[in-house]
Amino acid sequence: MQFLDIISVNIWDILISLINLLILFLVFKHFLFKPVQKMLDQRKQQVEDIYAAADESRTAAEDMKQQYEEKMATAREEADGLVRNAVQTAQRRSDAIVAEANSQASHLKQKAEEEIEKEKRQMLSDVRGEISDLAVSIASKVVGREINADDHQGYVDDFIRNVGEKP
Amino acid sequence: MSEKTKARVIDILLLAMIIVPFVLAIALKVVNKPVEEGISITGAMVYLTIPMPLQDLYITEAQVNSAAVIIALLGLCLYLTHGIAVVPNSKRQVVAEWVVEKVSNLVGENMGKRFMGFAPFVAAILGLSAFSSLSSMLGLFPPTSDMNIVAGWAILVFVLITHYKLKGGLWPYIKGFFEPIPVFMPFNVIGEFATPISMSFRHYGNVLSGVVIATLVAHALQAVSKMLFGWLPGILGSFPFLRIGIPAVLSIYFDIFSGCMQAFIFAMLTMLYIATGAPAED
Repeated sequence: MQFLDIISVNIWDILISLINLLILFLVFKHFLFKPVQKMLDQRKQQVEDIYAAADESRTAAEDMKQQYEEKMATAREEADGLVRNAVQTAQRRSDAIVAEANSQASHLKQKAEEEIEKEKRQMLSDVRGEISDLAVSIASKVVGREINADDHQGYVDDFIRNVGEKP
Repeated sequence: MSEKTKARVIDILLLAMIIVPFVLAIALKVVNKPVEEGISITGAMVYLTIPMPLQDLYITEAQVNSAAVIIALLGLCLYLTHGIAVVPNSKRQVVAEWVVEKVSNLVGENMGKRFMGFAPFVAAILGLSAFSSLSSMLGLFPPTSDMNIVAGWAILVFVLITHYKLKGGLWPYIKGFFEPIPVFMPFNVIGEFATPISMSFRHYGNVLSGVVIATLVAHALQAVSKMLFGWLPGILGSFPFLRIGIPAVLSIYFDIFSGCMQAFIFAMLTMLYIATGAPAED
């Protein structure tokens, strides 16, 4: 079996070794670096996606929180408004009721007073009539003759007025 | 279940792809190796001679072993990236990511971000050099101790360096040889060509020195053990007891440490030469 010398230069061996290194470079590039780099890029992409999704949901949650707070504030305001309105309405209504009641009462009172007045007057006139009749009959009895009621009505009335005014 | 079985079968095939080339290389060596008599330190064994113009092409042990290393590394790449997923579900994916990340960082730190395309090239140099040197632990002839192999890599690196220097224009490249004063021209030219030669000789010499020392120590230990235990009867008398264990300690330095160190140095020099050769980024 032949052996090479310890130091031997062979251009074809050198060329083969050069090509071997190139081949190994391509092997490393295509079978180690490319798949790993692709996977790393995918992982990076995935992580970024996850972060983006997390950010998105956080902003969504914050939005919702803000909306909720706004809604709560408006709801409170609304509730306050409702209560105020209700109070106002009730106040108005009660005022109206009281006013109506007052007016009705005064109306009733007025009516009653009018009635009383009317009745009083009626009664007075009745009484006056009675009295005049009585007076005429008494007078006719005293005088002995008929007193024409129509003729002397003026006196009688005068008399009665005077009587009525000084009860 | 069938999907899982298929993946397992592919895994086993890829593992076989890593192991079988070395087994074949060892078998080829064992079949062709002549019975050794005494100390002989030679270059690679020649398996086949093909007549070519200029010079005969020798298919040597070094060529076969480096081909075995390349096939094994291809198998390793495929094995590491097989079943790669975004969410890691295997240890080998972690290893693959670690390798890619470390080499990318190394390239990024030493060459800058614009040379990131060199990461696979640097990984190829590191892997080929380191595994070639480490193949001596299997009893194989380490391809890196053949100068032709390392010279091929160094010439490829030299071509790359020159390519990047020429990117700055032909005139600045030529002018660079006459700096700082025109008298320096011969030294600059020698220095230019010294780069690949020094790179290849450094690597090859370091690995070869390890092989030489390992051979010498092995023979010395055999002689010493013959002296000490030669009185034992039968086969025990010729058994080299001292060759058990002691060469392993040397092997840790010469095969593992020196092999990986030289691979790292070669890759480092490649990166630095190319990065400094390239014109400054504008």
